[in-house]
Amino acid sequence: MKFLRWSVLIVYTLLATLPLLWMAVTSIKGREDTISQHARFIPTADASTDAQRHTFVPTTASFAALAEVHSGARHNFWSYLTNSVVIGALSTVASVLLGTLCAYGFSRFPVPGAKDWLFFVLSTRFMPPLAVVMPVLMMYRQLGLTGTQTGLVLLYTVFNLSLSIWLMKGFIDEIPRAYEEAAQIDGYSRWDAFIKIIVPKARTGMAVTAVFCLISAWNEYGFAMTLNSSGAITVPAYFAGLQGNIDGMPWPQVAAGGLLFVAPIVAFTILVRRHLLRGMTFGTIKQ
Amino acid sequence: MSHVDLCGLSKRYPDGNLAVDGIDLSIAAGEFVVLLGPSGCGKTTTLRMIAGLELPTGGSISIAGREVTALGPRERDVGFVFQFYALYPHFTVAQNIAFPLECVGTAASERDARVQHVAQRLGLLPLLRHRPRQLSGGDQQRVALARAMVRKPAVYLMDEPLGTLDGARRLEMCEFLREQQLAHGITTVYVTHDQEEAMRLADRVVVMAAGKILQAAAPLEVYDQPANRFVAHFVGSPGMNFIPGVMVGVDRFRPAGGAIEIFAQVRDVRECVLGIRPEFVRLSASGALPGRVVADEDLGASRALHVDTACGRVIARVGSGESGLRGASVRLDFDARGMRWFSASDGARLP
Repeated sequence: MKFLRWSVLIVYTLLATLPLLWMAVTSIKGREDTISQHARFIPTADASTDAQRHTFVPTTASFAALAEVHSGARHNFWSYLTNSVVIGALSTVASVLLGTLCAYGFSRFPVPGAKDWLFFVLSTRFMPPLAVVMPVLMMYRQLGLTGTQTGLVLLYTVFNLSLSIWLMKGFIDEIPRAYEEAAQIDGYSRWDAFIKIIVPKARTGMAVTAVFCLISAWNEYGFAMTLNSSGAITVPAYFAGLQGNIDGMPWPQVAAGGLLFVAPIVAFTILVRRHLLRGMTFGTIKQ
Repeated sequence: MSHVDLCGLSKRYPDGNLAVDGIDLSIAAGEFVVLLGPSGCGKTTTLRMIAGLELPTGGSISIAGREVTALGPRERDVGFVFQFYALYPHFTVAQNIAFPLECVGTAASERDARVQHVAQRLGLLPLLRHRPRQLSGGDQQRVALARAMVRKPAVYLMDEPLGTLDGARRLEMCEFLREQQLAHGITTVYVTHDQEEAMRLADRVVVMAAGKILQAAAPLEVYDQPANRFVAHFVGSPGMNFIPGVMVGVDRFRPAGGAIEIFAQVRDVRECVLGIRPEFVRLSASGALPGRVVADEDLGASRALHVDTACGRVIARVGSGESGLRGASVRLDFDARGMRWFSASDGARLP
């Protein structure tokens, strides 16, 4: 039984991490090795010229090349990563803050038609976002928001808000009202009680919500590609834009950049891991 | 010491449910009043309105002569103890107790002194550094009490604070609460559905049902002179026996289905209900009412015999020695001192 469990786990782990491993291996190859007919994935120190070989000589040239402006692009990788970081972070913070406030309102006050409002909030996710890409593009052109960080921050915040409100409402509903009531009787205003009692108790929920919002903003491609083709380009759009350039696809650089692009998400998820494990099972834990 | 006055207090929830239906109640300074009733009778809503956690839809509330109906909880100077303690889990016991003082900006030195003082009185000194979840239910409850006491509010409001404790702890806490309240004479309004708790603690028990006050009187009076059938049945365990019947002649009561007649001093009604507590029902060889024992409950110090008679099921409280009577045929006698008479139509007590 134990053997079976471990073998299943090992096979699954291999399947799940193979693409990442392959990306890691690619990032330390030379360009020749990435496009050879034979898969070269065994790092070795001595160079061989056998065309049939599976070995390659590792190099960190691709990471150094990230600082160069590749043909087909206007800036180097780091500038696009900065765009992704700024847009991802700001929209995540904004969605989680607004979502928490909104969810608190729905959870604690008798909002007229609360159920309909919540359904409306959810219904904004029924439609595939790309269906509105054209209207949004036209609107953004009028407002001068195309090619700006602000434009994507606004867009991602709004897209993630429905998720954020629903998730946070679940978490805040779980916090007994008695905590705030006790605080209010003890002399806090409602706002004080919210900041000092509810927010610390809702931290788990906020962490979970932040992970979801960040991942969705971080990886978003369709809008980033359409709205920001001229400026404030994010990493997914940058890599896609490299296709068909005169020098061909710089695979080692793409792999190196991809690794660096995945890293913040992994780091953030590990950081809030403790909260995630509890948060994912929300609703099932008794007070 | 502050008196509390409720005047025509009502609460109708947005869904149309009338939780509290125009109640009037004056609570004297230093009085311990227990609101007693089944779930949904409006007792907790009343308490929460006094605290300012719910706004009334009618009537007014004043504390120490000051109208507070529209004020927020923090402007009312009340201490509230919640059913599930509501201790802040991310604070230590000491921080929890100090919290109300911190909110009003008490100086740190005085704050510490007050926390020490109240913690010592409640036996919490060894626990000050713990977090609430490391404590037992009883200890958590004491912390909640300490938090309410540290500020010396005008009124204590307690919402079933002992509801989650086991029997022995509960009795202990009851005694403790009563001692504290007597020692400091702070006006207290206490909500419970446990009549035993109510009897132990209260200067005055207020029995509520369906948003109305049915009776507000000293515990013994509520038990002995219930205002109506509901109170008579709700207070006391097991509750009062009720035997419906009619008056025949001036002073004779004949139970429905019974071949007996009982002397009754009830005037001007034909149909009425005899109420008698189990301790006034006796087994006696010369008893007028024959029956069969169908169940035999051991209550510790006494036994409750459930007897099927021609007048319906009657419960008799007998000495604990009278065991093994299940299935036996017995004869019952009613002690005239324990007979109470109620209207057959509305259940009100007949004079």
